[in-house]
Amino acid sequence: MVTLTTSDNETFTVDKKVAEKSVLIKNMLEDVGESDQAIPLPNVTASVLKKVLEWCEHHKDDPAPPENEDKDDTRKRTTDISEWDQKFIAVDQEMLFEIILAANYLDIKALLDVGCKTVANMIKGKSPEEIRKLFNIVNDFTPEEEAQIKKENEWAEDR
Amino acid sequence: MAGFDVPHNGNAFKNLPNSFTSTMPFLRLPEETHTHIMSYLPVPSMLACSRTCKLLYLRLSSSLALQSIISLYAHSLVPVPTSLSPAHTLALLSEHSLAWQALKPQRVETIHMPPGLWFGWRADLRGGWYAECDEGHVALVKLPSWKDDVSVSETGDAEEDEEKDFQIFRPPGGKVVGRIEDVLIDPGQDLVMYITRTPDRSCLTLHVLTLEGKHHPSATSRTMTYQQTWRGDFPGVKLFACSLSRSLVAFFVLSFLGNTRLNEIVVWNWQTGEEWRRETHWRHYETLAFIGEHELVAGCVTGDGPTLDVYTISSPNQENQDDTHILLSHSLALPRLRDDIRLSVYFSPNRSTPYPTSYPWYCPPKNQLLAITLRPSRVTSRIAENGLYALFLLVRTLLHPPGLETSVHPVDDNDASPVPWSIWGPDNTRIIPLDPLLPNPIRTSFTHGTRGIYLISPTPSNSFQVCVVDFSPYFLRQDHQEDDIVQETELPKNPFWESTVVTRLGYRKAKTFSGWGDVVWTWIDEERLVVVRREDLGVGEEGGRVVGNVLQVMLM
Repeated sequence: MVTLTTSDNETFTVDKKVAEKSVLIKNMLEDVGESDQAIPLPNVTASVLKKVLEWCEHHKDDPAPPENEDKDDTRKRTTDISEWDQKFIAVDQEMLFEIILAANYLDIKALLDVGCKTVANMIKGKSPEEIRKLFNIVNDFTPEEEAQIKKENEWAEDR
Repeated sequence: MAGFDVPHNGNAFKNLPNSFTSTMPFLRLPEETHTHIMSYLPVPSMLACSRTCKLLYLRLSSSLALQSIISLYAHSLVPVPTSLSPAHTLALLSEHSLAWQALKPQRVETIHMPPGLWFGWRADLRGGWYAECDEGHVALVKLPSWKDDVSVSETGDAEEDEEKDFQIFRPPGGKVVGRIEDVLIDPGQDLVMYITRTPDRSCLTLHVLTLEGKHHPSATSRTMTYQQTWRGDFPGVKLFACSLSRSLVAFFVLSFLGNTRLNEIVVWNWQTGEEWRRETHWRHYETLAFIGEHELVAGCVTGDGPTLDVYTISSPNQENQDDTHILLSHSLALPRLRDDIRLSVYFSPNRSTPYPTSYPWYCPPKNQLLAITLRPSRVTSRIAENGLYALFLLVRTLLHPPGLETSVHPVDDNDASPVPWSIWGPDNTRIIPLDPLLPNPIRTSFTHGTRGIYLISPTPSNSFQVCVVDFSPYFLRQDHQEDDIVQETELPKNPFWESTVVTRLGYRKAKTFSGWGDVVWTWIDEERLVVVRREDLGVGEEGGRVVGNVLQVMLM
């Protein structure tokens, strides 16, 4: 078993196999060797870690991703998400981004993929204005810049 | 990012965008996560994202991976439906576009062109179409593509030599009045343009047609006529060079009347019918090429040493009080020649398009390669000595050469001194000496995107060897290989140059490729290598050598 401490000082005790879905934790464990000391995770809050661990628990028996995946994985990229993951990730935006940030920090590639795909699916097919509304983005282009960029992108429009 | 220019071109913002310091959760994500998310998006959605705020705009502009996806999407090499992820498309495209490095054709097809007269033979190849003309007709074929059978089995027999004839297009009536001087095609716009000269040599006419020989719907008129009005004596015009951008066609002509000569650049907007002319005074050009939609480069061979002159063509809606629509922007000196040397300069224009159109071959304008054939010669009373060099440079060097003041406003001063070779040349060019005895030596290399091809010494005779080179800054930097050529080279000692000439622009050399036949022209594009072999068919009815060209199309 492995003990993890969150930024808001909550501790979680989980199966080593579950914790090692995180490459960060896996490397830490390898570095310190057998130890009962809690691993501090200063960038993750309890509510987020709880969610992340729920995902790790469900996926603990998934085969490890291949080592040199970077090259091959570009070929298989689709935005398909498994049913369980879809339900898992059906959270509010704030939590979704927190999960992505945590997955990034903890280095859990498969979870990061799920998060990013979810965001991509939200963006897909939307106009710039719709995307701004979606993520509460303030348009900081000057009208001239906006016209310029629109022009730059014109070639892609009627295809 | 420098060195890999793509349609979506990030011009950095002067002030730190508000979105940088945002507290909005989405914008707080780290750069690699934004990139990761966008990599799942179809290209139009990627671009939509980049239009929401400066931060995302810069994220997209500064990601090499995303930019390459956009760039390949712009190629439309395969239709990119939203169901196919950009990443998948990327993989598919790179497979095909890199095949040239091995020079192992998957399929070879031979196309016999109709017999024509040797004298005045010109050709063009663009967007998978090939056009050639002799004095009396224009013939056009669509070249085979790997896309033809992409749905059929993938196991096709390699290097199978299939004979295949293609439907030939001829101008209406089959025969033209006068003589055809040149042909230009742009299949992306369904455009064929050919230039004729009247039998009395007084007048050039540009004909605009569709690939099927019909009136082009975007053209205001079917033809444009160029004629100098001289009073009295015998007039004459000679076409030296022509080039096509998306809406403009430019040509360099020499009009003459006895000892009076007029050098002129003529630009015609074939869609609106507007026409501009500019006398070039003592600047005499043998060659010119579009390097952007409104930018031209011309090779000057006379005057104070050879130069490359860049002109910009201002569109009429820009404020322009006087009539100078063709402005000399700047001029770059080529290596100086010794006093008694004459130089001829020929551009092998880049046949991919500088702007995305509906046809596949798009290359970011600034990264297009221009190949220039330099042919210095010295004629004394007893001997003629010739040299032959291929000079390669990227268009960005011409547009923004080092040594030019940051101000980009056209100087338009015919006496403006050129940027000296020593400042812009050695770092940004590569000169490769070729065999001066090559057949058809004025047109030795052809470029597509960042790729060039040239003939090397044909030994024994009736054989050919071509060499393919790639100047892609992207490959050279991101995927450096040991045999990439990046070291400085010095031109062999010879009697042409005033002083030592060195060049050091990096490039990659593919394996050479050889074969048999009297090769007169070679091209490379994204998916094929085309070799034009010439077969002598004897003397024609009206005299003159008749030849038949055989295209060997190697699909990579």
